[in-house]
Amino acid sequence: MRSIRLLMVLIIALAVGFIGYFYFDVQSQKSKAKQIDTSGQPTLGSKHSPIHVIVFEEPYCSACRKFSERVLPAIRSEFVDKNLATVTVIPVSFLPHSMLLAEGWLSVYHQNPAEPNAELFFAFARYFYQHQPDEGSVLSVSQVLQMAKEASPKINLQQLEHNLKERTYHIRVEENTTYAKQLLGGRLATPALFINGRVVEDISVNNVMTEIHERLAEFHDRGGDR
Amino acid sequence: MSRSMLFLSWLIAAVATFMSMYLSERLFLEPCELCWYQRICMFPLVWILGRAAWKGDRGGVIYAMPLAFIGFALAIYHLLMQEVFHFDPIGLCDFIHECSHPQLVHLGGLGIPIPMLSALSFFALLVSLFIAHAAADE
Repeated sequence: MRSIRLLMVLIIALAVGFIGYFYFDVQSQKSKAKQIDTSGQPTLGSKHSPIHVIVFEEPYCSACRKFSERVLPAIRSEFVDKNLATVTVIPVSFLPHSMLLAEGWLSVYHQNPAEPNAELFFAFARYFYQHQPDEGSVLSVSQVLQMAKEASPKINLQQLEHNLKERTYHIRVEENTTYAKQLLGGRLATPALFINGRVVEDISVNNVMTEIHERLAEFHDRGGDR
Repeated sequence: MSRSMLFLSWLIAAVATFMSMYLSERLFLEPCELCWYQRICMFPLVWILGRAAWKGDRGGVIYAMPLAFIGFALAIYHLLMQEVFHFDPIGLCDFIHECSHPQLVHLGGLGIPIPMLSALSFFALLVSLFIAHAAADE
């Protein structure tokens, strides 16, 4: 009897210890630079550029809309077009009913599986953000197709319809979302911005531009070693 | 005999609860609807069996048995859903939180589906509860 109680107390103490360790581990991981896997995600720019900007975006989030309207074009013209940076956008979904859109974006990106088309992805995402519905509103497959048609004539609507109905990219979006949560220690708020593996919390145009310039300067100080 | 079996049952429930929390809170795997039903069966067992083991109260087995049985049935249903294409005769899980999308836990290079772990824990629980009950009868 007594030994069973003693064992129970020991096991509970062990469990509490583990929980505490996990908590502090998550806290200490937060500030470290991370290797982020962007294979199979829409990416613009040269592979060899010194700066890698990675954004996790949720179709229905209004801060993502602002980011895509104000910050992304600035990064593109200032850095991507000069081969100084690459930009990867990873679609995630956690707001109600946004899953269909995130799947649609990835479907358009993989339209030609042999040669994924990031430009087409960005055209569709940009168009969607310009016409972003209120958070939580439900879009039907045909409404999404209509948007895709207006976004770019290059989008293969039949294929998109098939992929949306078969939920071809559902698991991929779920994996993206889980991955984003793991990188951020569970607290996923979008747009989640990483520059060379480090989280950047202030996502205003000025701050993001300054951050990238600073990383570029560091890169040149190190003699071009990423 | 029955006291140590009660303790063992509690240990199984506690480890399963801890694992389940680890998967959702540390690895951030979103529990699907069916996972939640199984959790509802497992989590209270930590308290019920914990008290029973602490006090040496064999009556706890009677409270724990139905929960363990329902949890086991749900886990088997969940497992079938993942292994048999489009198996969901009662419609327990909606499409958005796909219960049928298998997520694997990797133990030493071996990928084990999460509902398999759940079914195994509930089965082990049922066996240990049964032995505790049988020993109490003697």
